[in-house]
Amino acid sequence: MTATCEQPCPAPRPPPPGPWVTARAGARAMVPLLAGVAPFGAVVGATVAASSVDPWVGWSTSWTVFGGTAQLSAVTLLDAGAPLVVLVTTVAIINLRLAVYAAALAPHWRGAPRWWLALACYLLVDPSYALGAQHAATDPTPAEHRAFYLGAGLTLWVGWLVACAAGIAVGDRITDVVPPGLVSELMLVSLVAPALRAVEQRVAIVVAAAAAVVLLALPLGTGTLVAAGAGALAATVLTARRVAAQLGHDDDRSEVSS
Amino acid sequence: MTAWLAVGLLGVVSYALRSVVVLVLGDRALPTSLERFVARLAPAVLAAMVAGSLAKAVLAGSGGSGAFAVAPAAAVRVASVLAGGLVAARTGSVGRALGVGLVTYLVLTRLLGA
Repeated sequence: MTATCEQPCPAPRPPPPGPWVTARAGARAMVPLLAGVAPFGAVVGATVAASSVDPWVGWSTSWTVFGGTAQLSAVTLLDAGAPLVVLVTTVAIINLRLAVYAAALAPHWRGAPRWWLALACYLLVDPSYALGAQHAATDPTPAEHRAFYLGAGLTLWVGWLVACAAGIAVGDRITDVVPPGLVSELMLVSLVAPALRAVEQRVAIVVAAAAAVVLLALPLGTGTLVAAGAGALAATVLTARRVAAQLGHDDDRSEVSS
Repeated sequence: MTAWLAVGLLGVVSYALRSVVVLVLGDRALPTSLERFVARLAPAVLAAMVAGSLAKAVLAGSGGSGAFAVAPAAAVRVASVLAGGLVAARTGSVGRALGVGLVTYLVLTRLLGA
């Protein structure tokens, strides 16, 4: 006698799309962010063009450093003839946030092949982190997530290299229309705003933003990291208090019922 | 040659920062409390970057006047970013947020002559 469902049997889950389909979805998801990133890349290129740094050396930062703010600092310091230790320290501090992004995505990358991890780490920067985190929140299979992230990351990488090259080629004509600082701010705020839906992250974001304004004077952009730490700490304390209050409320109810 | 070496070294340092956590952890998990803390920290970094950038723009626009006054250009920039942020928070769409933000910037710039 065959077993039957007491309730209507749930529809079988459709088979997941193939890796190429998922990778293309990741690439498509990255396109709007590229619209925000490209002008910033053009500014980096224009900065290289306006400096005494060799254009090929300047452009090579787009695939070695692969981070706009760090590249701008590197080109500026190279142009000024800064000592190597200052150059490396500055870029390291600016890029310290990438270690935070890696730690945030690491749980979703567990079990991935070594070659994939090596490439994924190389492609990790603000837009690829944000899209990767958003996609991971939809509870995909590990293979889906890996394909999506690679599609998004590689699209960003190619677009970034082209944008930097275009900036070197045409100088500041691209940036005359809209300030590139505005475009990168719009891109970053559009990545972080959806996180405001969660109370914990709302607290972290608001406190971090307020602290960043107060800590603006800290050197080498360290104010950003300190502010972010303050935001995350505030959210952690608030969550702990809420949990303690909830546990206290539950204890009171159990005492009353007994 | 020195510039090429410097850029190469910067690449190594940047990659090390991106990969050290992942490669050290391997298949091990972070403690749950640390995982949650990092999950709060990452968006806080993005928020701090936006706020810091806008604050610099506002300060640069206010110049050295004794009374704090926000230059029209800086006010337009803040308004544009807020508009884009509102759209992103409601729709979750990066494209729409960028579009609304840029349109807001262009319209306000025209209106105020900033």
